[in-house]
Amino acid sequence: MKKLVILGAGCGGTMMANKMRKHLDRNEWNITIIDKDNIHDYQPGYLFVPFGINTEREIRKTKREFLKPGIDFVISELVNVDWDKQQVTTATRGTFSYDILIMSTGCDVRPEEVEGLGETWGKDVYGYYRFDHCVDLKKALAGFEGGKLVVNIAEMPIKCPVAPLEFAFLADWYFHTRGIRDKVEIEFVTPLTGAFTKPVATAVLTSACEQKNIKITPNFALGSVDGERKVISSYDGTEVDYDMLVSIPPNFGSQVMIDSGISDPMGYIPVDKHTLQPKDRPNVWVLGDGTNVPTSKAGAVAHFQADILEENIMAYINGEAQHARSDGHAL
Amino acid sequence: MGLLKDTEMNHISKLLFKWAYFNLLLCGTWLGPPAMQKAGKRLSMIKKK
Repeated sequence: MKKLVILGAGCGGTMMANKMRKHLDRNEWNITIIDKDNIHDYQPGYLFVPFGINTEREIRKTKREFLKPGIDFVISELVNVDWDKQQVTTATRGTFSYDILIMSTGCDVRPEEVEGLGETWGKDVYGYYRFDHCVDLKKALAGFEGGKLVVNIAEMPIKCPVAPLEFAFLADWYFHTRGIRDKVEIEFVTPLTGAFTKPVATAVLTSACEQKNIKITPNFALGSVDGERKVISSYDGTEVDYDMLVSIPPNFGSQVMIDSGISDPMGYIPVDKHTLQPKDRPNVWVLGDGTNVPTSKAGAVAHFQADILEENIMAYINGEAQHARSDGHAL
Repeated sequence: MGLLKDTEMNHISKLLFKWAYFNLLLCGTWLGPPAMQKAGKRLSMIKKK
């Protein structure tokens, strides 16, 4: 029996497992997908939880319910990936060898990577890139009666690059509905040169910010957070004060990839940006937020990457040339 | 539907996308060609850069 192992049962991993199960004969191929837990969060919904628009019931499901029959789901922490030995090791379920490996382990926020941010988290400093962070932020926003709300991107790349601006717009709407918008100052502090990464979008979004009375502070490379003074500082010494800080901390790939020696220092796996394969690893493919591909970290990107992988992996199995190429687009 | 009154279509699209995510995307359903659609894109701006 040949073995296809998939790491990560989030958006990318689940899509790949279901796609490949349709193609591969159950008598020839065993498909195993490994993840640390059985919670599947609809991550686009995170943004709406702090404002009471999305509830836990609406955006939290189980991973297992989205996997087709014939896919083995292993719940255990991943502790090592060894491309040379063609095997992966888990904390509690042993080692799994593979003929083909698909990696989709995503990325996550790391507040502790910024001086003062980890220590200050939860004390007038919040975020919305994990479900528990969203719940804490919802409580904090409900108790916020006025002052300066700063939305800050620590550094790029981040998941869903437009989400911080959406958050600022939603905050504008939220405080309007509460009747306290005139008591709240909203400032969007970003390391980018403007509101967004692309010029056409930046022009439109800058205008939208002006209409909504949201101040944009560009070119701000976050250096530290001082929770006592309630100030964020950039590397060039610029300071911005806040009453509530909504932080988008640095995003890192999976620590296991760093520990396994197969990623860059940020935990992102280097791959060919068109084939999504690591160099000299013909039976390994990587998709989603965990690659170093210069594209948006978003489920839509993973979706289109999954189509490329599906075609090329089947060509690889059938001994044919692999023609599909990813162009990294999201829409 | 008081949310973002001037962009109701955006809000409705988000609700539809959530349904599509759980019922189509995760199932591995093919939703169209993976290559970028160029209709409506301002490619001249990319060339200038």
